[in-house]
Amino acid sequence: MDKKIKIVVCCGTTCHLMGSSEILINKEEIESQFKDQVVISGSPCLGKCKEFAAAQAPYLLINDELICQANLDKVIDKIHQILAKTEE
Amino acid sequence: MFQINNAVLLRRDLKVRIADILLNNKDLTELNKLPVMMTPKKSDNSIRCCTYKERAVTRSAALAIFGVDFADDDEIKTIKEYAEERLESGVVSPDVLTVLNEGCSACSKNTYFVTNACRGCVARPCMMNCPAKAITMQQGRAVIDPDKCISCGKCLAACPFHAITYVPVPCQEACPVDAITKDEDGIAQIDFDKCILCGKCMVACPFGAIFEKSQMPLVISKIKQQKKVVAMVAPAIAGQFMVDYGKIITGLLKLGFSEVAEVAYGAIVTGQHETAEWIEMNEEGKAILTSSCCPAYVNYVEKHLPEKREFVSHTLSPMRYTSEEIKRRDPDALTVFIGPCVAKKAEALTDNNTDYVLSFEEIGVMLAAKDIQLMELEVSEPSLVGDGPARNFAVTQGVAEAIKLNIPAGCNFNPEIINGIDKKSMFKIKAFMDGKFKTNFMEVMACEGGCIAGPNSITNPKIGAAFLKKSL
Repeated sequence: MDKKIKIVVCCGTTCHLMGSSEILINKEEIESQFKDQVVISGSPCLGKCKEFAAAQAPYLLINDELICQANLDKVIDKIHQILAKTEE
Repeated sequence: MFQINNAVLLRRDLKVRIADILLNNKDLTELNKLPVMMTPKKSDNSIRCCTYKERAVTRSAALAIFGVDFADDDEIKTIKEYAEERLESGVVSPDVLTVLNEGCSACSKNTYFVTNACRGCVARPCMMNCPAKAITMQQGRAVIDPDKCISCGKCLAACPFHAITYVPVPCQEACPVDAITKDEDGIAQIDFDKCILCGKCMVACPFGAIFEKSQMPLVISKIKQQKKVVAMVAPAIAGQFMVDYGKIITGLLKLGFSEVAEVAYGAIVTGQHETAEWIEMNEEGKAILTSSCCPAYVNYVEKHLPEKREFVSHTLSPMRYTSEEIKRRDPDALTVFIGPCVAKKAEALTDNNTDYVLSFEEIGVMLAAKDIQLMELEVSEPSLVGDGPARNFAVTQGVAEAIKLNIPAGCNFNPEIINGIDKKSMFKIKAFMDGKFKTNFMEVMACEGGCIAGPNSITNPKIGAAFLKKSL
């Protein structure tokens, strides 16, 4: 596989308050778990909290797909899904 | 003590909505809609048994955020009416914690429990070993009588099938001083004669039923009245938002605080006084002195070891020296301590110079409600400045290290560190005060890791410590 899965975690104030740093703190672990097929980066506010609601935070993008109420489990599930698809 | 879980997120969501209504001048009638807005009909948001229960808990949580005690709720007045009443009186509630009876799951008090794995064996070591004769066989299976059980755990250790499990009541298990009892309905009750306000129960409750009575609405109303409101930030704040310290200060100014003072300013004074006290004791003979800046620890000594009060340093906390200086410069300024601590709220009630206390969580909430993005801000300077060792008070060992720097050469300063108050460390504290240790100073922090891991911190202490270090 040549194209890496790109994860952008919103680090805006609302997302930070709702726990986005818990995903970033595990950045290296996730990246090495998937043998560098995944790149995780933080981003300034993506503006999604104004579009939707604070309750849906934290937000993140996986290959441009929006994930609401993101947590580690959701992120890892999604990575597995994408990897399974590309292997087909 | 730091945790991110659903109960915490629901609380923050509610606080953001309330801060949004207050800060952005929305009609207070919106407050009455919150329970339904947070759990609309047919929503999949309902985690508790039903939508209606969820709404009832939201209502009582909203009242706690306005500083109303659950016991004082007549259930007839609306959230808006309570809010107006509280904002008008402006009085800070004397008790700091409240249990939302609606939210409390009345966790079963029989902590040892026989599971389906029990095979009703012939040996029956559980029955044989139970010193309270609390176990009987019913329909071929062991059953523990909760009224007789003394929670010794012998049955659990004896069962060859590992069929007995330990199910604690989380708030009671977290409380280091046994301050939580249950009423006749099994609802948790906090005994404030014993409670040291460490906040561990609030973090531990999986139902989010233990709430701090917030002063956030009062502070917001003072800011909106254009009063001079001074933020006093505890040093642990440097690690809370994953941005440079100076940007956090700009963020607070943008929220409407007229200036931001570092509590580390007061920590410098605390460090000097505590050192002087130690040197004096050391010259008189063997020093037995413990730190005094952790208010939960001071509560612990005052409520549980009153005869040992003399061994706690008489030096005031950094908050008090800081608020004193602010009031000296401008007696009309209103001072707001901002920290990760529950016990500070009670300490502030006894400090005439500190008017309000907010938590890091509430500052995060206010910034979110105002949509202030810290990352995009310039840096600003605080009005009262601390130094590196003083900022390091926020991390375990920090106080002892700061004192060590002040101690003249030739003195044998030998500190003992208590990193978190629990049953085990309480024995150590007592033994130290009884003179049984070779060490001659004891730093005590009720939270494991220090203030950066306090009950109201919003960032993982690992990240918090790294950012704090950058500010030193």
